Amino acid sequence: MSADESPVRLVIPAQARFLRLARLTAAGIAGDLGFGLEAIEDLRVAVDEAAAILIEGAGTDAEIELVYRGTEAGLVIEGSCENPGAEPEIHPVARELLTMTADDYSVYSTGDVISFRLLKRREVSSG
Amino acid sequence: MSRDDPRDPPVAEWFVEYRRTGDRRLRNQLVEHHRHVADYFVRRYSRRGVPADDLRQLALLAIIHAVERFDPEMGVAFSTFASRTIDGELKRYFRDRTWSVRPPRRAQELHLELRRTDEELTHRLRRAPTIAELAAALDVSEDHVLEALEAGTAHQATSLDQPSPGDDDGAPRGERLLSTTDVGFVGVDQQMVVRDLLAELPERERTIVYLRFFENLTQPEIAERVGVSQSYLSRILRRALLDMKDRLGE
Repeated sequence: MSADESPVRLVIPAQARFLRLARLTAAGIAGDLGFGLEAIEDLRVAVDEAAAILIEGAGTDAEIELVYRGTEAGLVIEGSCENPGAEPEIHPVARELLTMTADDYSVYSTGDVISFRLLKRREVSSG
Repeated sequence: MSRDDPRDPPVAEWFVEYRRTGDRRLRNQLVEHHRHVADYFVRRYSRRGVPADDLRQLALLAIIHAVERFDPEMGVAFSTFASRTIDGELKRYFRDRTWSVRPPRRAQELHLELRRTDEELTHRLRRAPTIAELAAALDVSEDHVLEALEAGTAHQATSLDQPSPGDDDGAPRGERLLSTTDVGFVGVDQQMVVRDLLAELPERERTIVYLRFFENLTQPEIAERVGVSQSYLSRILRRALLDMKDRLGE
């Protein structure tokens, strides 16, 4: 996947055991974009934490849609889940993990849909 | 580092409930409640030239790993278990940084091991092993087994398998920190605090258990060091752990 290709969309049941697919997809796409191993591991943690926030309390038939988009800046992953009543509150531990592993992230709700957006930048060699 | 004040929240109940449900909120509660254990090790290792943010991240991931693996029914205090887990992960990190001899567990390399292990387990179990069984035998996470499968079928290697600029040619942090659960050995792993049991093992078994649980080497690493096949090593390790477990129950 290059920065100008179409995004990848993944729809999975809003259950914790399916988050593996979100992680594996993130790892595969990030690898394709030329991310290094540590950045990929960060991404796996970040997308897992962000997606876990969305699915908390979701109904058994709820789904989470994830969109992976390569950009000039890096890899943007957006997720959304119809989860009435869910609030975009982030536990301090999850917040810390997201802060450590993503370069930018946000969690927000619109009506009954709770969403996240996170960015992992392409690595800049520190020498 | 223990917190045995009766006014403390029902942490044991949290653990039982977390193991039953996998509820992420409970995991976060448990991590937060025991965060002081991770902070202790961050302070302890803070003068070794690793950026503080990296150290905090390593320690946080390590305590999450500990929470995910901890079984309160084993009768070991979580602070003890977590301390060993965090200390082990950080020591391993420093060892890897210092020695530069860590065999990288790239997906394609793992794919080759996967093939061998699949054959061994198929023969031994007389059926195809599950992903979980393969992950346990290889001492990696199920995610990494699936990635290794993918690496074996890819038409060309992706960047997952390539070193990146600035990469220190080692296994990724998450792989080390989040994927080392020995599924079949978790319960025994928690009993490694019983050093006396270790002392009673024959020398070779003692060495293997020590390398696995105190030095945190992987089974392939130990097999190479001791000079036995990985499958044989796995049997020795299992036997030694069961022996220790039996004697613990006496």
